[in-house]
Amino acid sequence: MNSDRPAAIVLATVAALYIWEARSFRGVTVSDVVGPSAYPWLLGGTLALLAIVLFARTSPSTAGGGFWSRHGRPAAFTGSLFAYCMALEPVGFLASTFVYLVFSHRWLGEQRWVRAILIAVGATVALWIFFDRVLDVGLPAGAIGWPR
Amino acid sequence: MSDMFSSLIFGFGVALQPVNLLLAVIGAFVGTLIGVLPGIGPVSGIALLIPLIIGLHPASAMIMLTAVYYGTMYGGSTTSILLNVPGEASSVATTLDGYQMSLQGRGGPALAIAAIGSFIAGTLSVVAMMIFSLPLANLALAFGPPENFALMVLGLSSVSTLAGQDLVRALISTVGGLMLATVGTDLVTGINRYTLGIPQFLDGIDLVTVAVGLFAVSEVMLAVNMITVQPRLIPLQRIWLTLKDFLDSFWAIIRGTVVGFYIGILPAAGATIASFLSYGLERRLARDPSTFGKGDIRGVAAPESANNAAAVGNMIPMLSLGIPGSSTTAVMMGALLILNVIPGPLLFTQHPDVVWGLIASMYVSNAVLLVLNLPLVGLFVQILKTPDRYLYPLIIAICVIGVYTVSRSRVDLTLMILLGMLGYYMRLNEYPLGPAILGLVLGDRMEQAMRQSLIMSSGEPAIFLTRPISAVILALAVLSLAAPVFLRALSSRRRVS
Repeated sequence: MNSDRPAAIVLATVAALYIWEARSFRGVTVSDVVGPSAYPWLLGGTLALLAIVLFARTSPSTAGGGFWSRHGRPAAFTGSLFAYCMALEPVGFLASTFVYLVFSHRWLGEQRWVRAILIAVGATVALWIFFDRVLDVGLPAGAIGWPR
Repeated sequence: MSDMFSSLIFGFGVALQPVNLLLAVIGAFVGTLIGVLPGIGPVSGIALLIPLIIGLHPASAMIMLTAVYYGTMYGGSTTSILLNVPGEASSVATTLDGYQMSLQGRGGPALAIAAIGSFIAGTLSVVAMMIFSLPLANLALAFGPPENFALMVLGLSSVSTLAGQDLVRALISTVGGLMLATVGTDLVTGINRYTLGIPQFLDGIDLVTVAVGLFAVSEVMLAVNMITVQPRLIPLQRIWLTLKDFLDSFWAIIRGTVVGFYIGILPAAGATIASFLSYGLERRLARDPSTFGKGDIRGVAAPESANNAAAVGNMIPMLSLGIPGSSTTAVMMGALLILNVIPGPLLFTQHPDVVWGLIASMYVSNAVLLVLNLPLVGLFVQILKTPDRYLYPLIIAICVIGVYTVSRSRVDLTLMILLGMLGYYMRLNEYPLGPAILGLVLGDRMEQAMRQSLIMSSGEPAIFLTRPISAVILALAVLSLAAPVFLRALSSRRRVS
């Protein structure tokens, strides 16, 4: 089994959807002879062609192993990152970052809670001072808030 | 020549303004930090700084980003030598002899020759850059939309050829980047394309989000599977070298500079290939090649000089043609575009302060890094000693802050995570990431050039082939795609017979 085939099918689908969407682009200027859809057609067509090549050719199968044994930790990492990103605005930068850091330190191998908490507090406050106070990028204060 | 000299004096005037000098120092420090830290490399590092430079004058912004770029090179070599962990791909070659030198207690001389070699290489190639870029820009001034389109096709095709093992995968990555660039409002007609009804996408997909997601988040995703071992750190003695060390490596530095600079000018070849080529060259020229890989100082001097020279060479096509040759210069070009400065032949006349300030700041960055980094190596080693379980979450938090400041919305954060997953898949399946960034940065201009050309010819695509310069450039593009396939067929036939 060619291990690239699932990817090729996904890419072909993307190319088809991309071209399908381009059909509705209508230009209004007179001088622009090719309009806003020609270039997308070109790209979508190229991608479709590449997907066919990827599907048709023979390539070695990738290494085996269960999905979760290989991708379990990256998946857990992604999940926690997603939770952190979603909590950022409602909860605020300080609380969400602190919680994210504590659990990440623990998860990545810190044995002692106290140490994880102390380091997370230090890092969160340092980031907050640097980005919000010094650089003034305006981090989300959230429900808890902080002095302005 | 005297013109160039006065331009350079003008450039130093810009680069040595107190604000710009300060930015160069900060940039060099931050860059070294980025180079030392795992998970965050020059592409995502420079991208994360883009939101911070938006208020700055373009010349100041570029001076800072150049210093960052240079700094990442130094940082990468530090980790290569002391830990056998190349911070960037371009310092992989340095690990071969650099780490061996550390094991033999010669880490100090290795770091010193890396810094001095980079300094010499950087300085010499900046001179070469001044000589090359202006004539190239003047040549490109005669280019119309068809030639510019052809040039971008050539840039993208040669990047695809050289970026990865597999041409099909590299091309998929390139086209993916170009497709991402079509998201947003069409500049000619004003209609919205591929925005999925999300208001944040009207201005297009943000470069910072893509660079951070694709490069940094995906790298941490890969790394969480491996965080177990603590790197073995070798205690460091004095960082200096003897006259003999320097004389031994002098010609390696010069040869590395020449190789690196010329490789750097070629689109896509870049610092990584340059460092390996010059390492190979030194080994072939050596009277006793068996010392290489066992701690030969030339094995550090050559690749370190080459990757710095290549970093300078890389700037030439970006500044004078508007075609970045590597993912790092692509991000720098993206930063320039955000500041409304359009790289290309007109840059030299419209923004001489940006060009010459940048060139002069390369000298300045070199000097700053030499003075700053040799004494600060101890500090960077301390950072390296920090366990990954603390560093990685901190890096992710910085990425989140950086992407959040782009649009202050969850849309960009979500996109960052999705692109991180995509980058993870791409890394595991050997899809090169660089071409995607290049496609994203060049996409808009490539489409404009194509449409303007077709307006010129009233819709006749033959215009790309009937204009001689454009036809030659497109032929080169086809050649760059076909050459590897042809060479492979040739070598396999030879093997059969």
